[in-house]
Amino acid sequence: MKENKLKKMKDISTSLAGVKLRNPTILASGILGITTASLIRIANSGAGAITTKSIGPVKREGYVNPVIVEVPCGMLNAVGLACPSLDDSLGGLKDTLRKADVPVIASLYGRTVKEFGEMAEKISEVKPDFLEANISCPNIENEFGKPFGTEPETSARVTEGIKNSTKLPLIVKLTPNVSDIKEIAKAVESAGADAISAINSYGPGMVINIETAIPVLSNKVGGLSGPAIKPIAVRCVYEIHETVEIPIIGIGGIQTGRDAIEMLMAGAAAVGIGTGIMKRDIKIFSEICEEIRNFMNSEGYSKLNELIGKAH
Amino acid sequence: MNAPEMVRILGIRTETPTVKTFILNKKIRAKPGQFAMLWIPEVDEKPFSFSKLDGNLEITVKEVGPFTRKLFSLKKGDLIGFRGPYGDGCFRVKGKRICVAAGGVGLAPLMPLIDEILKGNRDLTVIIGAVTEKELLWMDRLESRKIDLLTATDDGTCGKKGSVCDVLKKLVGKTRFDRIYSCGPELMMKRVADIALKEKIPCQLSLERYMKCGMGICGQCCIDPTGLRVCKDGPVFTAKELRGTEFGRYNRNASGSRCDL
Repeated sequence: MKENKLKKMKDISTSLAGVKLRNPTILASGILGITTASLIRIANSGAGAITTKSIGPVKREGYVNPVIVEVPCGMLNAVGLACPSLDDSLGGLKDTLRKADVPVIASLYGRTVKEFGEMAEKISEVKPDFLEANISCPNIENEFGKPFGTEPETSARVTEGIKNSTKLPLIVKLTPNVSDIKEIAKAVESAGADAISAINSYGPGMVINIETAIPVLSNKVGGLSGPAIKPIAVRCVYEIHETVEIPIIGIGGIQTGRDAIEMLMAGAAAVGIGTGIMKRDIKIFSEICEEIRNFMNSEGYSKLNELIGKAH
Repeated sequence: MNAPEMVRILGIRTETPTVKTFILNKKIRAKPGQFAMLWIPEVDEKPFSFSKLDGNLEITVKEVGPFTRKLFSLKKGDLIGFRGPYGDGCFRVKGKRICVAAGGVGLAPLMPLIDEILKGNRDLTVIIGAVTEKELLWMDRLESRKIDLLTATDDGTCGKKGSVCDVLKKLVGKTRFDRIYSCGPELMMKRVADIALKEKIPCQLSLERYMKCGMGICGQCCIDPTGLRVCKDGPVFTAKELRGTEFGRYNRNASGSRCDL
């Protein structure tokens, strides 16, 4: 890009818990985040930050295919927290950090509160820019029990456990599958969370193939993502913004600059993008940034900050 | 919609002792090299390239594991889940003198390409290889067409004793090809790619990786260090795109762990 054009380009940088992002688009966890090569490609394609697929304590193959099925306005997925061994994951993360020119968010999960703390400690040695605690995967209830993120008390205990094991900023990723997300947000903020990601996938939902009368996903159920859950995500972010002071990464159904702006106006400081890649491919990051800039130009906004929480 | 649609198996042909072709009650516009995710309910879902594009789609499969064993037990009239076609990276016909190098059932995705090559006024050499003569795919179909056909078998029962690469290596010393297209076992394709790069002949190859979503969002089949997705950016790549990558060295299993070839 020519230098004079760069100069004219509106600054859409934002910050999360003191870390600056060149733009508010973040690769959400679980999408194109298995390998360093893939994460770096997304960073190079224009994302403001990248999130790894959740790193777990032991190697897991996840569920048998199909693990993904599209539905009108979104998709269901139940990949089942597949991940390589912890050593392999840490090696990959180290490599990603060495090569990335944008902040790297290391998503992690544990099977117990204690294990979340242990995972945080080990991952912190590699020094990612953020930890993100996945306390909200909706697909592993049969194996791991109810997600920690469904109760304020367990959400807080996981948060506290991680904060006692690391000095890195911690993002806690919340589930929308609760009766009052404000309570959960308050609980994790009080327990020391530095930021909140909202929301993880919704449901779970189910798709049954009617010719065979068999659920398509091998796990039978999977989390719903995509435009179908955007209004829920916007409402959750709006409520969380009214409840806590810490910054929010708004995630759920963002496909366009207008979607991103809506999420910012609900109170998000940055937005996560995942399922949108299904429709617009990886150029979605740079395109959404361009669309945000165009909107700001035409509507007379000079800084991204002016959009954040504007709907309140 | 990226969701399986149940299609009927219209017929099954036995091609070799280990290879069968399944004729699907499905007609789509697909390009040579593209593939579909095929679902056997309560078993698994796996990617398969098309071996015929005109009329009813066909897939040609070698029995190699639990999924293909199950597939081989299906009968005419049974239903199978289909989603696709996938793969933005497909075979593109260019040049006058063309060589197709196929190892075993790797000939399957090359068949629609061969059809397209023969539609133009081109010189086509096809090298097919297999462990033994009985496993050579579609000899009769290829022999009846305007093709310079060469064969290689591991046990020497038909054609050159050795591999497709041995035949190709000799051939490129004599004939100046404009393009090489290949599919087969990865280590064989790596040798084909190396020959093409050394001789500066543009070359396209079809890759196989463990896939989950098949549509470029899960990241399971990304190649190191470019991050190109086999399902979306491939499955067909140029030898140049694959130079210096994991191609020919390792791949990843369902957990995302590396497995050496």
